Amino acid sequence: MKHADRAKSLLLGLFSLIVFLFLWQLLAVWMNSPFLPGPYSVLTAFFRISTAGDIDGYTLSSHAMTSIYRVLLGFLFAGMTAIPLGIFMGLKPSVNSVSSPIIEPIRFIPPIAWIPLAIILLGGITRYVFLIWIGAFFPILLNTIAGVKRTSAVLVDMAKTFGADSRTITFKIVFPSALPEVMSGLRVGLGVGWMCIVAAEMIGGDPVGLGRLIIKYANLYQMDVVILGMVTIGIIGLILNYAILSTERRLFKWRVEVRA
Amino acid sequence: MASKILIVSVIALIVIVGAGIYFSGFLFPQQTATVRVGHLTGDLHHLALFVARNQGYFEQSGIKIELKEYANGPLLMQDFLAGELDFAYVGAPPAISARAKGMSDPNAHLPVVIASVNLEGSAIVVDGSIESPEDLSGKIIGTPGTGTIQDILLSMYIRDHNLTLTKSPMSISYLPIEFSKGTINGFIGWEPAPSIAVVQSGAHVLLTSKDLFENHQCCVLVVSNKFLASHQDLVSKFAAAHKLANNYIINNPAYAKQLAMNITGHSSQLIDLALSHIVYTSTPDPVSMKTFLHAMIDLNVVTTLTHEQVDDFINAFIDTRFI
Repeated sequence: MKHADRAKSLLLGLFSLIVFLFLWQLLAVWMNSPFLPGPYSVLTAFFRISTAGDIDGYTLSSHAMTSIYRVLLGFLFAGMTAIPLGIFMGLKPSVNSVSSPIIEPIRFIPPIAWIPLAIILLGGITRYVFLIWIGAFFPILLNTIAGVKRTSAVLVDMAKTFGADSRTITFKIVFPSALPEVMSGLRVGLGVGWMCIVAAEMIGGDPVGLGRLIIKYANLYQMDVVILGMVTIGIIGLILNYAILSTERRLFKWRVEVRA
Repeated sequence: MASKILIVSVIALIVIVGAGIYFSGFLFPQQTATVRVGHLTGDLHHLALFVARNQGYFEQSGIKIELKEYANGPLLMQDFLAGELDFAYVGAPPAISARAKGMSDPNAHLPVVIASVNLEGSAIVVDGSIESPEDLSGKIIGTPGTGTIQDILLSMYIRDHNLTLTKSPMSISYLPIEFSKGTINGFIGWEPAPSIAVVQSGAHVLLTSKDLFENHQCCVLVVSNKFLASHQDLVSKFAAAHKLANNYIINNPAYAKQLAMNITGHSSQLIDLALSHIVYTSTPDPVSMKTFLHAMIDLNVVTTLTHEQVDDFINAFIDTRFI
């Protein structure tokens, strides 16, 4: 993209953001409800919670950092389990046949439905990690399987002809070939994991975390802080998504889908 | 003459039979109105609601109740403000903060207290590592959610005794579970949650809400201001049924205990302990509600009122005409 086009796109984005904020403020003034604060009230809440902290003394950055830590930990476990399993299931159709009847129904259970079980069986950070893991695991797994299956049979046959063993084929041909799909799975998985954070932190127990901040202030009917928590979740989600997307673009410049 | 007597007799007979049919409700059965009533999950404070239902007090007043259950008071009040409930059994602080926040919104359904449900009725239960209130410092203590009466009581106690502890807010049903797992050192909750931890997990009662704030107003019966304006007769009947039920609890403790056992599924020992912490009364206590509101302003739970406005606010909040 040329610099002029990039600047134009940036200006358009900025313009739409200003229009959105203006319409939001207009709606807030028109409704005149203490339950729909305008962007200015949310900005004021941002400064208040960032400096003085919330009702329990936790600042916005401590809420955000705690949530990011929990999400990344859950995401890390999801990647560590889903990628090897996905490769194995993609390579061995028999493993796929055996595991599908178990995995397929489980992937339709929303993370929030796991909350009561997580509370009974797990404690501390492990319950957050578990709920984020369950949200991020399936997109990574399914994309990895798809990536493995997409590997060119010609490349595999050629490697076999040259005497490559199955370990070499897996690590030198199949895995690199599946990497673009794996990255897409990681990006989707991180997005889902991030969305699970509110549900995970709703479990309670810890007074810190963006989900907890939202619920805490919803209980106090202070919607400016509730919206602040929502906006923070959105912005961090966007940054994390952008970080993975940039990595994907750098690693797989050769892919048409990535370039687009 | 004979025909005149006959006509008068026939008319008299028609009037007598007609009146009999009318007053027996056979021809014009009493109109039944459905009202939406909110209450909290497994809260023994709200026993009057179940007594009134089981004893048929609502039915006799021509009221059909549609019950809606909530995990805590602030959650209930969110639905209340949106007009999803007509009446609610709820802690005084969540009702106060909801009214304080919603006052500037003409569309909000503001709560009006028409009766008390109970005084006191909460307790702090802890594990063996805590023997005195001073030991609470540095410990993790669960609460049934930010803004609940128990959360406010604990915050007031922390402030007054200069303690530093970590509050761990969660759903009331999870508090005894988390305690039994050792995730928290103790918790404050409404009955029977503290008694569950005592009987099932070896907790001990550190402080009851009587120790924290003697005779404090706990749960109140609130009605929506909009519903009150348009259905004063129904509000009057509902309040009368509630008062009758609270009196029945006081006069028939054995019945109250059995009902509490039936609706919670807990043992006789557990219910005895739980009920010993609750004072059932229908007369609201404005003094303790003012104390709560002052504390809530200090704790930044209520940000829309000043201390000077407290008296006027509470006077407008409570309507004792129906009790």
